[in-house]
Amino acid sequence: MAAAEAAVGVEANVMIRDDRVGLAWRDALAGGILAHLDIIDVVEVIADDYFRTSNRRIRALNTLARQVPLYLHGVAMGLASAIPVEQKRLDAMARLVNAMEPQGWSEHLAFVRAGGIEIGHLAAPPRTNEVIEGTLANIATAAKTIGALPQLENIATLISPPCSTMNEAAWTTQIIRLSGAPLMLDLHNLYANAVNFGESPEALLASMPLDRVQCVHLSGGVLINEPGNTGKQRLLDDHIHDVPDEVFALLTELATRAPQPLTIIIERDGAYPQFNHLLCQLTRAREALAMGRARMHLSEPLQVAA
Amino acid sequence: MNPFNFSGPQFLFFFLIFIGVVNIALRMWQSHIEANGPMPKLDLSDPYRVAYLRGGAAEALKVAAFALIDRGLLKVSNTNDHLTSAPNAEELVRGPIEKSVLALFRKPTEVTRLFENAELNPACKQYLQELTEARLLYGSGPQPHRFSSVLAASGAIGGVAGIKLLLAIQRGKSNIMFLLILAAVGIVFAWASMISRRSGLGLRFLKDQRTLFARLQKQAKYIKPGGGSADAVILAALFGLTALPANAFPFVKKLFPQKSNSDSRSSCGSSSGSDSGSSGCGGGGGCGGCGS
Repeated sequence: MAAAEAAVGVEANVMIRDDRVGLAWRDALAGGILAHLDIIDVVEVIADDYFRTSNRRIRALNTLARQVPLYLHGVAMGLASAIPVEQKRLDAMARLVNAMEPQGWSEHLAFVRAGGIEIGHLAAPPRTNEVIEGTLANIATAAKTIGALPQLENIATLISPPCSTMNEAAWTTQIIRLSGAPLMLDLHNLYANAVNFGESPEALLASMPLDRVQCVHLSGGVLINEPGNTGKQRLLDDHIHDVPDEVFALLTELATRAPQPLTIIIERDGAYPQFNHLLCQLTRAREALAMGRARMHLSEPLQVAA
Repeated sequence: MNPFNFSGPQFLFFFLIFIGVVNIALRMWQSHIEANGPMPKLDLSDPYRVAYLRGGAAEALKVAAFALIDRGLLKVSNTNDHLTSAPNAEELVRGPIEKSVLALFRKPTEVTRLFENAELNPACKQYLQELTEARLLYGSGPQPHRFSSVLAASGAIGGVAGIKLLLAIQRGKSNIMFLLILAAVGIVFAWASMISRRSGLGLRFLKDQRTLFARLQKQAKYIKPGGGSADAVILAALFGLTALPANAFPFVKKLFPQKSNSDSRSSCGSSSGSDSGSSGCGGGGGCGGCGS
């Protein structure tokens, strides 16, 4: 298989032409990102950091957006909820989108507030039809205000959402299909959920609407002990560890199954390593992507023959 | 309240303010006109280009030298006035500007040689061409919009001075020297705006970059020497060598005293240092074997 992959390496390089690999913009990484824009295809900025900022900072970000493809990523809209999304947050995002003219914007399939209380965390809502209805209404409102559908990101959770009537893949697929929004697939979130709830990561990946994936998030996490001395551990998606091998393997699998161009973004929120180390992670993402593209290329004739 | 009826000192005070307002308006107008339009795409992975935009060829070369010293590819003499390239250093760098700096110092050579004919350095000429094409710098030719606005400003200053002069002569006053001096200074200051080769768009670009990296500037004291990250180079490129922490980079002050920064093109930056370009990761973007 390895030899065959090498043999189609040239074609894989051609196929990967439209795929992009980049980093999430953080102030601590700004210098490294700027110095390596020749090998960083895309940058993602946390939109919420700029909701209440000066025009000068927004203009500076706009200048950055002229230099490198830029995505806006929201973290506190709380779209996945029966509670209507706050109009002020949509307005803030709309202003930013107008000012930045980004390649796209994204939000999490999570709820972050209820009953006027801010959770301060991306929480998984009950996976029910009621929440799907609320989420679809929120997405429609967001699209109307902002002028474009968001990319919707799956989240990691340490506990299975109570009162759920369907699994994560079915719930996510329904929202994606009914809203028409693209999926931002966070592979570490997917991996963490599979680990935490005893599922096969590959099977969970396969059950997602992969044809709707446009962007992919990669990050790392850490195993933590369950409360109560159960002896069991759960995987916490903390963004301060390297992307694990298993997640790169999932990226290869995704690239095999999803022929559309993919934008891969590595997220790192702390415990920053030397920038060269992050560049290595980018290189690994490219390699994983290329391997998947090569496998996809190999499998095409077989499918025709079958 | 006719200012032309003011007494001598009162009118001179008014005239001083008038000159200031005219010159500020002139520069705001020029900046407004030049900063219009979309920001061009620029290869930001080469910080020397940004250093050139900020301070010209000498600044770009100075920052390149700094980056090479920081990476151990350029050695500083004990007397802090000579530089020598490390053996085979030219094979380890990317980009013509680094190569040209290393080539200049193949033998122990005075630091000041770096700035001789800096504008003729091929890499710097390339930067000038790219930045000019991107409308961030102007070429050597006259800029019609600047010429006409400076002419208007000069006319306003000269006109006010001329009217007061005529009135003074009519009234038999002969103490007109201060008026003439002020008018001349005001007009010269207006014409000085023709000198800057950096366009309003270039100025905006630099300001935006500095805003993006404001936090880096605030945390400069944590930057470590040794070329381990691009932060030092980016900081120097955007804010000048003086923005670098002196305790981490003690050679900077000795090698490049502030007075040598007279090349700086305009008043965009508070600091006068230089910057450098390479990524600080050994000159390449790759990471070698990271063991995938």
